[in-house]
Amino acid sequence: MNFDRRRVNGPESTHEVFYEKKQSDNVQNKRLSRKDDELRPIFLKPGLISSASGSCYMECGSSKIACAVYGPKQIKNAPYSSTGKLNVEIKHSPFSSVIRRDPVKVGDGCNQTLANASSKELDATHLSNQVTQALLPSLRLDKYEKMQIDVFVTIIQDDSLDFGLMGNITTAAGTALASAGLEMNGLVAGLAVALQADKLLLDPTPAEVRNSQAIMTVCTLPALTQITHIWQAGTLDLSTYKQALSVVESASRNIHTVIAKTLMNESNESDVST
Amino acid sequence: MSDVAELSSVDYFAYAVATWATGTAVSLLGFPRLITTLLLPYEKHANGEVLPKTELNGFEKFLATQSSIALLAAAYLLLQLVDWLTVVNADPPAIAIQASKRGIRNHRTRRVFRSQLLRRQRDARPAGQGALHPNSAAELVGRIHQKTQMDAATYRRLRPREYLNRYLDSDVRVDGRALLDFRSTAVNQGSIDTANGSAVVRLGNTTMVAGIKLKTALPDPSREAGYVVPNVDLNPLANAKFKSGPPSDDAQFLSSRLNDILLSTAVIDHTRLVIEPRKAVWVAYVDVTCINYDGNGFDAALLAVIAALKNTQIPQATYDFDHDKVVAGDSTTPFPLNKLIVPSSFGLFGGKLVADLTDFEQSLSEAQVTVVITDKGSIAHMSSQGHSLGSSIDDSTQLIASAINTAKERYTTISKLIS
Repeated sequence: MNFDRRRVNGPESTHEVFYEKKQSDNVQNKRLSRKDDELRPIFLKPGLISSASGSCYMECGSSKIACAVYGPKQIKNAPYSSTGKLNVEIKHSPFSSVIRRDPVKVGDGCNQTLANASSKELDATHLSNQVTQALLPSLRLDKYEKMQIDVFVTIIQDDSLDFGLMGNITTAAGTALASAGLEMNGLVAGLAVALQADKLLLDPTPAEVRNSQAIMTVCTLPALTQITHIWQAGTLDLSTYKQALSVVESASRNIHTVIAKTLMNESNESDVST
Repeated sequence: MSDVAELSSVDYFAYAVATWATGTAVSLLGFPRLITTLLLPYEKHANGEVLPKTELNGFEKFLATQSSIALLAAAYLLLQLVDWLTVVNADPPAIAIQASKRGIRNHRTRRVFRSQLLRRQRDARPAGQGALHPNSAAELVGRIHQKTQMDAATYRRLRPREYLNRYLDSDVRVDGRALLDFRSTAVNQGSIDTANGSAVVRLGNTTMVAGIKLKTALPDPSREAGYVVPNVDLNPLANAKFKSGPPSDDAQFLSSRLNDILLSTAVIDHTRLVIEPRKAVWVAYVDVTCINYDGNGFDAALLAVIAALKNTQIPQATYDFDHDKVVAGDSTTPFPLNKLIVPSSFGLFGGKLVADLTDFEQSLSEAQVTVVITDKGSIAHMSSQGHSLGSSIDDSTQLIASAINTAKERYTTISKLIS
């Protein structure tokens, strides 16, 4: 079934371990320690991957994301196009989530295995489409005729489920694109907000996502006060929607400051070292 | 790059010849007349027309010749300026190579290039050169400049083997290490909460993350033992040469080598991974993800695996016969490791043993040797790939002995990093 001659294969069928005490019980009410509109601290470190044009390592909560940008490079044997092409590939490392993500099963069976953990998780191709949409407005692709820009993302640890994860990936990828020195309209910040019992929770944890009525990820260009992408699940009434957007807007500005400061420090450091 | 160089240098040559020829022709034939027309006094003819003087006296002839020479000199200077601008804008080292290949017959062209090259050399040579140690990398770069008259990065790209040999001949590496030095190594264990055990290993720029996920399975009827399943993912994120898709040949080779070594060195006590005989055993999925790749992936991957296994805690589990499943409790035991193993890989360049190759060195090495050392400095595993090790038996023995000695030293430093 999951035999692949290109890998070292384990036994044919394996089972997850059942714990007597459910581990998730103690993380249910984590919001006690932070306010509803408070973000978890973000750590960004650009330039970690030596052979990439630009890269960024991001930690938010206990999520860990590595992101690298390669290019722009010429597409060989392709018809002329007046704009560049953005290619985003997202990969979960097998140990990134509570239940092991089997690399052999990714794409077909992965969702079914994860269905027990959360019905709100999606596979990586869908996620990469979302992130591409969120990043496109920030890039000046018209400056890169006939070129391709590759963005590779590896999720080392996932602590926010797909909606929050998508926001984090967008932030990390946007930073990596900027550190690659590409022509951009602005820095992108992505952020998830969940509606739970008439409360809007910014940057929700997996437990909060599971218990929410609605969740949406908003990706913005805070410097231009533009929204590049919204991805939503569940229903929100119009007034809550507006409220959510205004909450996200102010938080995105904070993220923007963090990204800008990080990039500034990075460029200052590299000036000193050269 | 070569396209640009060829085009501009050919252009350049043709342009120079053409202008020179035209200039000469004009100055010999028509110039004095032209100058005469423009500069010399006009005379009024009998019919009333105003025309230039046709008959020149001695002074006027002298003036005409002088001004044509001056004009030519001005044209020449203008040409020089134009050439200089083109050379500055084009890729100078590329042109320099092209020019040196052709041997530059044209005197003027060579002069332009020479001034360019001198300028580049002066810029590239480090300040305060005299104070540097003769073997330092910076000094070597300077010497390469003098010999080849092209900049080090270009030389490295065009003639990687010669570039590397210049360093190795002086017993120093491109990054300034001695031949048997390893890059700085850092091990960070237990940073990933979703894994049962994890480790991040950095070997210079090479970064590998290993995570262990425990699952349960039915044991193989023929042997009462658990499973350890190592897999390496050479992520396209880590290096431009890795492609996305199913595991590449390199990744497959790394995975199977890891599996081989974990089994052959008996580093893991598989029998202690049994939960209930004939019913349930532990399966430890050891997944290694490469985050940044700069050579010597094997050492980094094996170190990451060992450090992650050391970090792993196995829950105290019992088999529930009624419900046919494994139930895990709160208490844990460390993963059953018999010993510690530490890998050291070396490359061979013209009979010289070089430790911990970078990606650039690895692509040029003739052969590679890996020595895995275990407790008490004994050899747990040895392997070599590539061409023959040394030219004779004596030679090989010597190389291997030196590899083993270095690997033993490496064991003592690395075993302190892994807790």
